[in-house]
Order: sequence, then C-alpha cells, then structure tokens
Amino acid sequence: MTKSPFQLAMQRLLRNRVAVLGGALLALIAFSCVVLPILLELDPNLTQPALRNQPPSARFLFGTDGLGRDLVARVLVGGRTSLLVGLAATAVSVLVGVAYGAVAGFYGGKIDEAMMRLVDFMYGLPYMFLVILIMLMFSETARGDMLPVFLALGLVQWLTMARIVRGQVLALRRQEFVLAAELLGISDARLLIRHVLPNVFGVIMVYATLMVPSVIILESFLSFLGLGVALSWGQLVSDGIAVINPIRSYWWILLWPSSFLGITLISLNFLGDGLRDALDPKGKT
Amino acid sequence: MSEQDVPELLRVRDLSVTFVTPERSVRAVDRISFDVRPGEVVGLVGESGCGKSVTSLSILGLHEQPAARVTGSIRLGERELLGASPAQLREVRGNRVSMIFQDPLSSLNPYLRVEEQLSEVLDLHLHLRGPAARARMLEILAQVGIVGEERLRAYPHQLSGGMRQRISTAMALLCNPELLIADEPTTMLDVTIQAQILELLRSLQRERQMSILFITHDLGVVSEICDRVIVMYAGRIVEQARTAEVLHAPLHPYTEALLRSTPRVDVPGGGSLHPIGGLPPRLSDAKLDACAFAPRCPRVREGCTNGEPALTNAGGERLRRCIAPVAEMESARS
Repeated sequence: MTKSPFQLAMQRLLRNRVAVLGGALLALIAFSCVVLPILLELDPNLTQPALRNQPPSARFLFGTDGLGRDLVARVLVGGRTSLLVGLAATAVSVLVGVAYGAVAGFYGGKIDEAMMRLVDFMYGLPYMFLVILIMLMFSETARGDMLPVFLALGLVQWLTMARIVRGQVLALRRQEFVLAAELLGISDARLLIRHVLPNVFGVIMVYATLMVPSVIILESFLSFLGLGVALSWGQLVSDGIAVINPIRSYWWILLWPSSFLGITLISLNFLGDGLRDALDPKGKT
Repeated sequence: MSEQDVPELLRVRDLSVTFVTPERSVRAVDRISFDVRPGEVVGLVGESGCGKSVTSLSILGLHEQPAARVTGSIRLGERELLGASPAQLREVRGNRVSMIFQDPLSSLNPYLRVEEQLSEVLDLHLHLRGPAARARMLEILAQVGIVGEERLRAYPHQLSGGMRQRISTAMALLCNPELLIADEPTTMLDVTIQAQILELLRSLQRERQMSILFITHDLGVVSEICDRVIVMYAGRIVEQARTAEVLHAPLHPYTEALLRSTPRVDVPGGGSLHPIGGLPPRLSDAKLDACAFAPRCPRVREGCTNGEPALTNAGGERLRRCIAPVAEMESARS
C-alpha cells in the first residue's frame, strides 16, 4: 500500500513516546473537562457555607474553596474555558495568519512588502496593551462573553503565523514543481491552495500546536489580572494565590488548577515537538 | 530552401530581456531572433548564464514585470505571446506549449499522487474526468514507458529519478502540445537513463510531429536529438546552423572552443580537452563596443574591438557573429 507523506509522518509521530504520552494526557484532560462535569452533574458555582476551605477528602477529592465550592467541579469546568480559548484563539490566528502570509509570500514584491510592513507595525505595538484595550472595548456590551477573548488573542497571535507562512510560501513559490504546475496553465488560486499550501501544512500544524499553550498562558494572565473570562484555570490560580499565607495555607486551592495548567502546557509542547520531528521532510521513514 | 515555405510554429523576433534592480540593469538576452518550425528539434546551446533558460521562460511569459523588462515579439502560430493576458497565457501553457525541467526530483509535487498531478491538467485543458481521464493517463504513461496502474497511485518519493523524469514528460505531453520546451531534461540523470530519455523524446517527437526547443550545454546531447542548433553567448546568438554543420564545421570561435572542451567518442581516448579560459562577461545594459567573446577568443584580431560584429549570413541558413574569415576557420580544421 502506498502511503502519503502525511501518513508517513503520523507513523513517525506514533513512534515518538514522549509525543504519544503528551497526546494521551491531553486527550484525558480534554475528556475529563468536557464530559465529566455533565456525567457527574458537577456545579462549579454551588456554594456550601458550612464546608468552606475543606482540604482534599473522600467527599471533595480536591477540597473546597473559600466559599465552599467543590474544586473538582471548578477545575474541570475552568479547564473547558482554558482549552476552548486556546483552540478558538489559535483557530482565529491560523485562519487569518495563513491567508495573509500565503498571499504575501505568493505574490511577493510590492504586495509582500506592503503587507509585511503592516505586520511589522503591529508587532511593534505593545500586545498586552492591545489585548486589554480590545477586551475593555467589548466588555461594555458583552460581559462574560468569550468571543472578545478569542478575537483579542487571535488577533495578536496571527502576526507570527503570517510571518512563518509567508516565509515558507515565498521559498516554495520558486520551487520547480510550483513553476511546473504554473507552466501547465494552472491558475494562481489553485496553485496556492493545491500545490503550495499542502507543503506548508506541517509547519502550520506544528506552530499551531505550540501556539495553543501560549494562548492559554495569555488567557490565564488576563484572568489573573481580572480581565479574563469568569471561570478558567488562570482565574482559579489567581484565587489560589490570593489565599496563600504563611499562617494557614490552603495549598489545595492553588495546587490543582496550576497542576492541570502545567500538565496541559507540557503535554502540548511535547506533542508540538513530536509533530515537528515527524513532519520534518528530512526525517526518515 | 524549401523549409522556408513552411510557416514557422514559433517566431521570436528581437527578444530582449533586461532585469532591472536598483543597483544596475542586466540584459540577460539581447535582441535575439529565431524560428522553430513544426516538427523540428532546435537546440539552444551555451554555457551557464548565457541566456538559454531566460529565453525559454520568456516564451511562456514567466518573467514578472516590472523586475524583468521583456521587449520584442514572440509569436506562437498566429498568437502574440508577449504582453498576452494571464488568462491567455494559461490557455497556452500546458496545452499548446509545455515544458520539462532539469531536476525531476523537484519538478513534481511531493504531496500529490501521480494520478492527481496528471488529472489536474487533463481536467483543466481538455475537460476530461473520470474513466476517460484515467484511460488517457494510462495511455500517456505507456507511451513514456511506464506500465501499470499502481504507478498512478504512487507518490513522487516512491519513484526513481528516471521514472520521475518520464512522469514529468508524460505530464507535459498530456494535451498534445505543439511545442515542448526541454530545459536540460537529462543533466541530472546518469548516462544510461539520459540515453533512454533522449530516445524517448526523439520517438515521441517523430510520432507526434511535435517541435522541441531543447536547451542544453551538452553538445553530445545536441548531436543525438537536434535538427538545428542555436549557439548563445552572453545573451546573444553567435551561431545558428544545422546540427551537422555546427558540430563538424563551426563558424564561430566560441562554438569551436565549446567543441574542443567536449569529450568525443569518435576519437580514441576521447581526444584532448581544451577548456575555455576566462569567464563570460558581466552583462549590463550598455551597448557593446567590442565582440562579447573577444577577451576569451583564440582568434581575436584587431577588428574585434571595433564595435560588436553583426550577425551575418554565412551561406544557406547559417548565421554567425564573427569577423574572422570563414576560410581561416575551415583551414584550421583540416
């Protein structure tokens, strides 16, 4: 059976133990966050004043917070937000960045010059300031809505994606097989979509995988500052840090969300590294 | 000259290609004119950087304005290709004029199966799909000597170099082009495969009465496949003649020197080789005040620096750009 270069890359990926471990952990965390709260009917906002600041026990596996809310429920539901923000913002930035970078790289010359100078200009802006500005602009109309977060983070992250894709497309544009296809009478749009972009796919995928954790961190940071979405890992970490003190340490309130956040980030990085190795064209079968 | 009655397929007149950069302009091709007749194989010969590939790419309209300034006229049949719209060019490319490249490794898309690359062209130009397209693909593969449906499902990395060049050739021939531009298609292949590909091109050309513009720096290849040869130097045509005449009685010192630097199979031991000293000149936009080959020419004389020699007729269809007397060059051979 003839295998496509993509299938060969997947084969290589599956042989990379660390990447597989990362993928498995991610799948487990994603499954827990999405399915478990529904199955177990967990309510992250149910307050039980009598059971405040309970350490982990058989009843509350992760303990409870200062308002007596079950941390299992909060960490899992918060994980939904963090993962969703990571994926959605990455999707926004991939869409915008790939389209923008591909056009700039494909046409080159003055078009490229103008398009990339805009990217340089936006790079120069203090991005955190930009994100906060966008969030504040939207917060009047849609408080607690996640859309502004996706947009704000996506619009900051696409710049790097555009640069990477532009560079790749620029190099591929002058490859002989693209020239050969052009000389067979194939139109620009088709040339770009069918002949150039599939060859950039690997790079896009690797970069997208590595972008998810950085978006999650950004979102956590925003939440930490009090600008984020209502309930996410960043928010929970922020809550946890607020109650840490040397006299009575409620360590569990900080430990669980930060462990989940950490494991997710490390897993994503493992998976991204594995993908990069697997998709490297110089790699062996 | 009965051949002059045949209307030419490709008619290039005063073609100049100048690359403009902020620092300086480089005229890579300087006012060249030539014809390719139907069913004729014309060789375009010269060392690296003499304008062979630039000429071929301008026929297919691949130089982008304004970085490249292309002037003159390129007519394919009745149609002027220079200044044609992108849509008109797309209609010609792959359909009436096709091209095969030097490197069979990089001229196929690594992410597409052979079938996908071939069917795209069929769909585009002949609107063939489904079983009809499949039948045509198998037919063309058989013609280039590849048998079996499983090759259609293969990816380029699963094929050998010679096989890939056959696929590229098949792809170029899918729509029965009138003109095939072959840009050093055998340079990257080893000698046995090279001979196979040349033989294949020759037989396909005879069967279809197709014209080929064959770009190469290898005079051995020229002798095997070309009817007529155009020798280029520094973006200019320096000699043009039938293959046998060029190979056995060159009338330009550059051609002579090229031949002396090529190993021969008809002389025991391959004959002695004489490299051409020096390098081709730096090309610029300025008008030449001497023959471009003068600094490297073994037959250089006083008149050579007295303006650039004109391309003159040297009997029959032969053209040469040199002031050394024909008699002197002929006596040197005997």
